[in-house]
Amino acid sequence: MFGKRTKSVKSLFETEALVHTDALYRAAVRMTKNASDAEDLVQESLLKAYKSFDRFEAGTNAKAWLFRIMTNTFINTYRAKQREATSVSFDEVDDNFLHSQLADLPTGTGDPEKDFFNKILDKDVEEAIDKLPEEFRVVVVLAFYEGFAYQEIADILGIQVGTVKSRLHRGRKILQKLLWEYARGGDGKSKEPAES
Amino acid sequence: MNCREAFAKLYEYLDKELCEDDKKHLDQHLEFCSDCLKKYELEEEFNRVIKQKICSQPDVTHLKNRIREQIDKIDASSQPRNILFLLMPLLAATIIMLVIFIPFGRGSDPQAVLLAMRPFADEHAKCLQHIMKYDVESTNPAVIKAGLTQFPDLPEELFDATPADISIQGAAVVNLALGDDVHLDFKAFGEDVSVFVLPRDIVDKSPLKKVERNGKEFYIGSCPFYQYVIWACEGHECVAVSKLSQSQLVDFALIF
Repeated sequence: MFGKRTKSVKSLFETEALVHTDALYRAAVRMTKNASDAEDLVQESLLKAYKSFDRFEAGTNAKAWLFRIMTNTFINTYRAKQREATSVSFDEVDDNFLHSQLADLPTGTGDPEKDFFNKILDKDVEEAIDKLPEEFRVVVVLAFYEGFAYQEIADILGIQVGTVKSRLHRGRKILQKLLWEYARGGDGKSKEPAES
Repeated sequence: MNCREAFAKLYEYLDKELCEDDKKHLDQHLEFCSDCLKKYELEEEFNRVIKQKICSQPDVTHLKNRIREQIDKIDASSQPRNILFLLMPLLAATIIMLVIFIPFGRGSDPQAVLLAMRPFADEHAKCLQHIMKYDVESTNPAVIKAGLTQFPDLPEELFDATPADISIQGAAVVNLALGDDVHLDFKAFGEDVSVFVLPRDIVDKSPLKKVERNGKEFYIGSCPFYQYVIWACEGHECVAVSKLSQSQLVDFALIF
């Protein structure tokens, strides 16, 4: 029953699990906000997955299963290491924030919407995601980076679909506010107080 | 559909999570409401830009190789490790059962203990309820610990009691060592439960699925003997709640 793993188990793990290493890593970087922690987190998660690979049912969603292991590992182990240093108040971001900001700009020159989007740099997006409080950040990462469906995210995190929706909604609004502020600050530099 | 309703559904629409009916209604609304359409287009563009900015492909070749090496190491010592790992929950259950049953003077083999204890299920249930009540009434770790030291004395007085209804209705709040709060809500299960406090490292090594019920997060998993549910808590210890079928007996322990 607990015999040595055959070569086929290993190759199955290679095709079912290890193929998702890049996706896991990409999400792990945003979760831990740190490349070296992210590597450790992915490694730890994949090794956990390998050890319990017996329990994985072939044909089921391996990626979601791996992300569930990783988010659990993150929440149990790595989160304790981090102390969320949220420098921005996200209590109430108006649902129409971006829309009204763009509408309030003086009319005349060019296309303000296009200008805004053009000013957003790749690193701004990463920086803004890193600033999201963890509960929003994890949901945003799973939805935006990996394109998981609401139900999949709910299963991964063990939360209700409604909670996924509302976290994603607020996450988006906060991102819009942050990116708007970056774009207004010029060169993608934040006008917010520095992260600690 | 009015503008407020349309806005509420907007992200679900963008994320392709809307059902056909809602989608149709929203489409109809967007057709004649230029204000909402503008908002929708802005959100759609925002979505598109964000996804485009984060599409970088990290190079994980090195990491993958590192993981493969680790896997080889695991395989090299596969047999003992795997058995240890797979048996961890069973091992934990066994140790706990020993601790529970030694005061009762029962045997040490879990299977034998289960069989031997079957006739005493009712008494155990009563015992369980008694302790539950005790725990509900105290949230002070010192008080709970003191109460548990009396545990071996409980059965004798309870064994005289009439057979009890095994199902447990009620909630207990137990303060663990180091000031960690753990909430046990037995109503969520409506089944017989047993409660264990397991060392955190054993919990971490178990293949568990995290789930949320009644707004609380906990882990669910299974091992050869039990289906158990483990409440998450920070710190060094965790509480495990195991569900046993009606035919199995109920046992209970809190171990600090």
